[in-house]
Amino acid sequence: MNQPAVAVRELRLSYGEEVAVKDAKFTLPAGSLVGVVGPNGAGKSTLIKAIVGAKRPDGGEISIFGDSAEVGRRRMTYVPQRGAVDWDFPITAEEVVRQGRFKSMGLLGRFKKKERRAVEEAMEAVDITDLRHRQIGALSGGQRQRVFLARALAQGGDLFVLDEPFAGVDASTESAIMEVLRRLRDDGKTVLVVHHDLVTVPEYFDELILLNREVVACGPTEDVFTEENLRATYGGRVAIVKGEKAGG
Amino acid sequence: MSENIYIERALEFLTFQYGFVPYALGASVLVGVVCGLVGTFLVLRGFSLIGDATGHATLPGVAGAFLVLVWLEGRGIGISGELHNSVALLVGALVSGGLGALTVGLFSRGPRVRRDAAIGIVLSVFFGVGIVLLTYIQGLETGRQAGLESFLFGRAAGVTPGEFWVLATAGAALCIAVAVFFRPLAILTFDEGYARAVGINTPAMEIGLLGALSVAVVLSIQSVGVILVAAMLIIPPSAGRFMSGRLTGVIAWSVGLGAVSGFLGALTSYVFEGVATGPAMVLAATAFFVLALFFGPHGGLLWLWLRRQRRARAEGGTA
Repeated sequence: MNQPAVAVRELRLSYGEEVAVKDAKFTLPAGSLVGVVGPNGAGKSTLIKAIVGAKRPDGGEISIFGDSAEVGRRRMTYVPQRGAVDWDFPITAEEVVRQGRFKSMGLLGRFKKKERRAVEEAMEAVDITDLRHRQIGALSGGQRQRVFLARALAQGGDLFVLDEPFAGVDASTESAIMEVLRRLRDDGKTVLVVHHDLVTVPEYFDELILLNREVVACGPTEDVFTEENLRATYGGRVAIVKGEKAGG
Repeated sequence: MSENIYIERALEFLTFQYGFVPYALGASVLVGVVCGLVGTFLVLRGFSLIGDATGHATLPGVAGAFLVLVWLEGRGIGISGELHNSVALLVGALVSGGLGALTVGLFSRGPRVRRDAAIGIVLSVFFGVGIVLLTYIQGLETGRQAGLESFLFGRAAGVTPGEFWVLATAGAALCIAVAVFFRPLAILTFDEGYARAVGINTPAMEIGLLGALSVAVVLSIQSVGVILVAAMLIIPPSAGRFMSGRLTGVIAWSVGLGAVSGFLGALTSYVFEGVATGPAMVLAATAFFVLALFFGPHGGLLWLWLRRQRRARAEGGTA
């Protein structure tokens, strides 16, 4: 696994006239847990969408596991931001998780033992087995996030991309999700997470991308997570957060 | 005494006293099935009014195809046979309905025109053109235009056996196609971002869904009419949402209620002479919707009210 999981060069993303990300350049080593942080409107979600193929780049190149993005994406699994779906949709938790298997099953493949086991294991891993028959609208924010993580686990893959998985979830869900992500990393998977809580950054991530429309810094968290870089990313305010963390 | 006439007529209808009855009935039930199926996906995506635009957009196609037929006849190359003529009208409807649906889809992708505006534009422009063509046709000296009026509000009794089999075959093909692509359609409807990330060709699926919509509409307009076809795309799925918490359940209820509404519509328009099939069908579907709204186990008002009562009583008890 010497190939980087993701390599991005000169990436340029925009919405009409508005440039969301410019000249982004970074590589993510395979088998690491990577955080993307930056202020609101820094282009974090846009960058993630480009990597997963939900947004077309205006320029530049993305390669995944050394292949073109189209080919590499077959080994990738995406957990979109939670707000993106209609919570009144008539679907149960288990049915969402089962969607994770559809890609490998094709249009008409039957749900066999292997598929059923993958779904069971995924639900167990995030502890939602007893919620399986609930309609997703009847779940709490944390439970919904677990369902979507379970769908990703059922799908499997070598690269997991999560957009703000900790937004609006309770503390126990956050630590449960983190435990699952660490386990994936320990199994040699690469995990890319859009994150917004700077306090937990050093604890959570091996690698870090600091983003504010361009990549301010990228590399191992202990090298990159410096006051200077944070100030360059967010402006002056965040030094306090860092100070608290260092003090505590 | 007058009630007896209605009961007699209903019995006449139900015992298939006249040869056209089974075909009128079949065509009406087919409307419920295909519209209930395709409509569910549109309603769940919050895009149900595109059905209204597509329905109205079929009118210029019908009228245009009719003019082409008249023109060909005038040059001595008329297409022989009733069936060929009506198939030509349906093809015209499919072309202009499909064009309308695609135009809405295309417009609403751009940043300047939103969905509702795109629907409004397409619906009124196409329907306007259709009415202009119809008015022109009224003035023609051919005497064959009588049937065209029935496309406005639907006349199931006018469906001939040959036409019915064309409709039924196309309807079956449509149902099979939806079944084959059910998984990607379900993912696209629920979570578009995820659909793209798992490699589903979402633009192609989107166009496929619009194509399915156009076919469903075209198969329905003879019975329900271009103006009210949208109701059959929207009302049964909306009722189905109160009946089940699963996509397959909502589809099953929607198709079932649509089919029964079609049946009741055909029956009513036979029993009460002069009532068009379309409005009768829509009223039946609306009755089911109201029942579902109150008594449906998934969010029905009665259950919500009972739950609130129980909670209030529990709180009252502890106080």
